[in-house]
Amino acid sequence: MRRLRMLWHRLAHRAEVERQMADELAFHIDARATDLMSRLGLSRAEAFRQARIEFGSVEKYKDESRASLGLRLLDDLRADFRFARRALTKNLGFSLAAIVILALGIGANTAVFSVVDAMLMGTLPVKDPQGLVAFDTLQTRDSMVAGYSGNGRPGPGGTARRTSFPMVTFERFRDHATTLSHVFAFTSIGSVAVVADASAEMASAQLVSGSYFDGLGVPAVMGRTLGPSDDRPDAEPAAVVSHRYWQRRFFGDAGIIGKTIRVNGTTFTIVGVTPESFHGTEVTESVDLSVPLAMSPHLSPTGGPPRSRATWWLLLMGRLKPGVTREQVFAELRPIFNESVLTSWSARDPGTRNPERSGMPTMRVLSGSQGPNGPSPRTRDSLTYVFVVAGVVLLIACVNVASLLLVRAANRRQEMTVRLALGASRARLIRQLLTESLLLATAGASAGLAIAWWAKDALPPMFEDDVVLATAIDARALAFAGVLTTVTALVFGVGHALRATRVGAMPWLKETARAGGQRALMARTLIGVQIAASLVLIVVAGLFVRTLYNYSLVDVGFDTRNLMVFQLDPTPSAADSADVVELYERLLGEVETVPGVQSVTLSALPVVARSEWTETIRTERNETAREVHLQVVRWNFFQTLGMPLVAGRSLQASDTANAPRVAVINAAMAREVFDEDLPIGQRFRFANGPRRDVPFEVVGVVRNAKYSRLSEPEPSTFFIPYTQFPTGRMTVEVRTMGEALALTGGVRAAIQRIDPGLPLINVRTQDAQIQETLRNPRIFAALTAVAGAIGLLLACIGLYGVVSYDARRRTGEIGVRMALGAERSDVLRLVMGQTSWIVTIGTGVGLILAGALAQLLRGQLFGVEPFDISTMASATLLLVAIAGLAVFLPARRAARLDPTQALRHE
Amino acid sequence: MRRAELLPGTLDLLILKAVSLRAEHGYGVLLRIEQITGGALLVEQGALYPALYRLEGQGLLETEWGTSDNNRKAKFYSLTAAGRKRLKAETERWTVSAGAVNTALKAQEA
Repeated sequence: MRRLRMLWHRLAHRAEVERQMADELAFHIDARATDLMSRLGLSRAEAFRQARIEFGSVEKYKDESRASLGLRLLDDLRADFRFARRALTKNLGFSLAAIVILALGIGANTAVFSVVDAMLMGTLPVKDPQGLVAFDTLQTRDSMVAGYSGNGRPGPGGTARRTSFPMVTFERFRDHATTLSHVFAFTSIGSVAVVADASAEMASAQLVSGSYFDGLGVPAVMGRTLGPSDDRPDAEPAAVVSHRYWQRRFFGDAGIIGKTIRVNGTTFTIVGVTPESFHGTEVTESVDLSVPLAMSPHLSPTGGPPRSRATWWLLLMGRLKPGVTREQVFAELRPIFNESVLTSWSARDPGTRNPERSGMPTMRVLSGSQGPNGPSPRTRDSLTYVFVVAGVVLLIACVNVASLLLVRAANRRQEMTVRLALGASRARLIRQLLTESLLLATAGASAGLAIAWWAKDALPPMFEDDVVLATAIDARALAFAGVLTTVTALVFGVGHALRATRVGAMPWLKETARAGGQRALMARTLIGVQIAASLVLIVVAGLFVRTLYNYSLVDVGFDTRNLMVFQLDPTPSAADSADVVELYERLLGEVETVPGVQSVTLSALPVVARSEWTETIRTERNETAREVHLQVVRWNFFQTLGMPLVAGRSLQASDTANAPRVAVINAAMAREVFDEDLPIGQRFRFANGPRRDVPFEVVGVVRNAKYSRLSEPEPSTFFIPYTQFPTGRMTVEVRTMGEALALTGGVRAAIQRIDPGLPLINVRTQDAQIQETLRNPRIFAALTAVAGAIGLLLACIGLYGVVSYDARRRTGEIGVRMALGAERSDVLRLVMGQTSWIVTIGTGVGLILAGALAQLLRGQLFGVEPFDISTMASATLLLVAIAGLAVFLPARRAARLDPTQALRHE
Repeated sequence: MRRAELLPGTLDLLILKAVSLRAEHGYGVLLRIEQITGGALLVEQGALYPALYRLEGQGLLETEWGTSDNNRKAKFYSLTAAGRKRLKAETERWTVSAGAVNTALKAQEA
């Protein structure tokens, strides 16, 4: 501490320190001279001369004294920086290239890692997320689960990992758990229609139990959150809105507390606003509106009766009491859970009684820091892939900076030699180079940080709809990428010079062929690595381009052009199912009057939009159960979409609720289920469920069409009229003359002439909807192609540099060969031959790695094998052609040398 | 008069010893070393100053500007408490190791 203070004092009063030092030394010489005069009787001039000789070099000792005072280091550092800055600006092209490459590598990696970390490992923005627990179960086909609604993923050992629980489990946990301070339940109810300030819009909503906000530790920034007193059937309906929704929908209105809104037809009072950071209990989910669980009967999307006691539909979480472990929670709650399963199972609908089931689902207690579900596997796969690509880019960046520095070191050997000869110490030179490398790395890292800052917000929306993610730049990722690139810069910027200086000055005044050769070998290896890495990216990009092309060739099975699609959910406005049909018919009738509209139809699911609906059926002819796909449609569905009828009749307006039940099936179902081409008149029924008693009669067969995604073959599907199978929310398909979206305004006006409170959800064209399902391959193709192009460009610049350097180094040799009669073509071969094998080896390694990576991506490819010969061949051809050019140009220049000039070169 | 080169590390010890009686300026330190060693050791005059600054930096010496015998402004060095402690420790260390070396050398002669 004291020393630091002294050093600071010296730095601050630098001039004073210097003056005192000069005074002190002058005094010494003066005193000595006086002594010498009196002792030896020398003359004054003689005495001073003698004194100065005895003292030695004043400047040298001053310098050493400065070092003793700790001032030298700082002086040198400042000089180093000044010099480094000058050296780097003098060679602006090199410096900019290095900084840009470093920035790309660091920026891309930091951003990708930060996003991956936030999306895959991010914790909920609540108080002490580590103190939360979540529950899930592992279930088999034999598990006593009568109805399930929620998330499911493959679990260990062929089980299904499911996160929803029945109401009775929640109630027992809430009332009996002693290891948890709070137990709370919630469930997303998707989109609800919200009417506020006389306009209707969709919002995403969740039902939450009374202790949800208390348990999470999420306060209200305005008003209050929901509490147990709100979660009662007789309570005044209250709602809490998110900060984001408050801003978006109510423009941050300060008087929002106490405002009433209609949600699916029920009036709620807004009682509070949650903090900006809070957006629900899923890491990548965003909730606009939270309402009490007890309000569920008023909000049910189907407008039906309350959920059965047997249905599993609630997500469960809890907060640990201090000092309690998850194992203790498990030990306490497992018996309670098992008992609740039995209660729930015995409450099942008698129509689905299935006495064979006796399996007990296995409950697990998990960390709740990410919510019960965590990120989806699809997101996980995509992000992992992007992570790999970013890693390859970082590798290319490092290798490239390394080779740039190598070439630079070669070009500067004369400068280094001169400085060594003039007496600079090795340590001093190394420090100089270190400073330069660090300056480069710092500039690169700063630019990289800027890139990361931009990219972290640009990335997530590519992978998830409507994602709200407060991504912070991940300090670890930045440090990792920064340190890696800096170390590369140091090793290659300094390490090489270090070896050079060890040799001493003399050998360096004349570059030896051997040292040059070693450097060239190193540079070649680096370029080989870059070629391999770029080829991997180009091949994979090629596979994705092929995938997209193959998708574009797929016959969808109907006419996708000039087709507008959107969703409607008029259930809150209709009292019962007959009303729903009646309302839909009025709405569609009004839309048909809009000029430019050819026809309008309905389907329960949007077509080719990753949505499926499967049912188990039994045919009357042979009783085996078959799982087939189902679509509920309006009678004119086939005509409107342009699906040609193969046999029989289409659905008709006369197939009403009271008419005999009919179905149209597709050609695949005719073949696979009925084993004949035209099974008109055949009958089948649902294998279970309340409607299994009444059979459907097959009245027609339509051509196959894609169902939920382009990548799958057309599944066996049957179509039934929505009049006989009313569904709440449906997709409206509007066939238009000309550009579909041009009619959006007219269609919206028509809908709201019938029901002003009914919003149009997700208006888009059918083509856009199909494109949406191809988002992953499209992003992957673009991302990989850009990364591959950058990689290839960098590798070629490196290649060009190495060949030029090689040719320059061997100018004398080339002169001799030419003087002895070598032809131009011989010289060309000589110079190019040295480099061809790097391209060959790099290409070989690249192809092998590309095959391996593509194997991992098999699931993302369509219509092309991971080891696709033609893609690999064309990628290789492209690379070899461009690399060949980078080699040929400098080689040709060498071959055009004038032999006499070349000989004079040395 | 035979003169010996300084053993490495001994200059610091000699400087501490030289200023242990009273404060000395740089040239005074030199004279004092000549005097207490009987002129047997050769100190390069300039080399004194980096050593003085180093010891000052280590907190073993403190400095003060004063007037010399011939009435000129000079910088005087004196021991700090830490310097005095260091001198004592170094002296003991030196005595022990020098004694040991002496003994060893004599044994070989015998």
